[in-house]
Amino acid sequence: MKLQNRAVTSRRFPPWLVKRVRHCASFDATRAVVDELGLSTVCRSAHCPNVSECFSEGTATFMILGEVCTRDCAFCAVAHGKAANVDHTEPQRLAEAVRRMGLSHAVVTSVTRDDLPDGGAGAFAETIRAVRRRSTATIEVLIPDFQGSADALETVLDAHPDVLNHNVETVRRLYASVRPQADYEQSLEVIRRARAHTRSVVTKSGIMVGLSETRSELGEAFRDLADAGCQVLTLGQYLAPTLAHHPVARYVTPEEFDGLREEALGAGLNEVSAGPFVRSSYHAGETLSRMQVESERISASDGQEEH
Amino acid sequence: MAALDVVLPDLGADAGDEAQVSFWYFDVGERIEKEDDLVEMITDKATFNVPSPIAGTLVELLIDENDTAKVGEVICVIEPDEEE
Repeated sequence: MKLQNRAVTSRRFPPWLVKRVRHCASFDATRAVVDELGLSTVCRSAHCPNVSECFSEGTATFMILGEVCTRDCAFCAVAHGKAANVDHTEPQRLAEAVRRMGLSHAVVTSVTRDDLPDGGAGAFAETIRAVRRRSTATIEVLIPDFQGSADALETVLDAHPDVLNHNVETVRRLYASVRPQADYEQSLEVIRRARAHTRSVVTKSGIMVGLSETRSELGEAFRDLADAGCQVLTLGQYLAPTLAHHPVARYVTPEEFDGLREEALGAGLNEVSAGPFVRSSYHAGETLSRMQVESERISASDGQEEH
Repeated sequence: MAALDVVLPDLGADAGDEAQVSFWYFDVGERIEKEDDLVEMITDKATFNVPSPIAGTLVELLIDENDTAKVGEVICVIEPDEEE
């Protein structure tokens, strides 16, 4: 066998950014359910490098409301342009997929639909209700900002998802170049409003690192999120979907991810997943389980203090 | 058991998408254990290692280093060990 250290000097990527992929029956089984029910996943549409791992483990993150987004963020592989017609059979088909896959935790996101009056909030709510009718799975929704609409956010929250995830994606300064059609304060407000509306929903956000943000800007974002009531944070390495997308400014080492995780916890976030391949919904079910165990522990000790 | 065609697994994009062979860990004729990394592939997005699904001998490499393969394409052939 050849020297292994020869292979890890791959020109383009650092040695820790290597993903093992294998062809296996469980991958095919997940793919078959998704395809048979005519569903989309952000896993495939956004070219997530974890797809082989997650599909093989029987999980996927569904993407509703079509595969074309009305925005054009510089980091994203999803197609942008004229969005699809809303398909009112999608919630039931998605619920059926959750049932067939035996998911204990279902994650649903969407393309951004600025063309719809409610931004797609109604579809999210319908999907949550459809899944609840068919399964006891916990439900996590990864939502757009609905252009700041409080009514749209309330529509989603009134369907009682277990986790409300809205990604700030990057630090305040980089919004103009990375997320020009969004607003940093508006995204923080989504988290703030979610926390104020429903005490029991777990609030979550995510940031991609390696877009040329500084360490102190990340620290500021952690504090902003904690102040807004965000409970869970995911931090992952930004990877350019193609060489035409926003360039990768730098590759953050696994050790630095560990340091960022400590800093985010110190800033007041309750649960932080950080690593090169971590994504918003990567191992999301396990993250929620840890949160639930922790909040039960806190409720129990609060109860003791009141008495 | 017949020789095994090892196909390029799904890498996170659409079927038919390509990846470039960066490095073969083994030469033809060498013995491989199950789970040994066979090949390093790169795409625009990341580096991927494909582990061997079986133990055996590498009998054919179908894609040269720096050439591309499509998801689903056969990249090498392994002759499995004789069953005892």
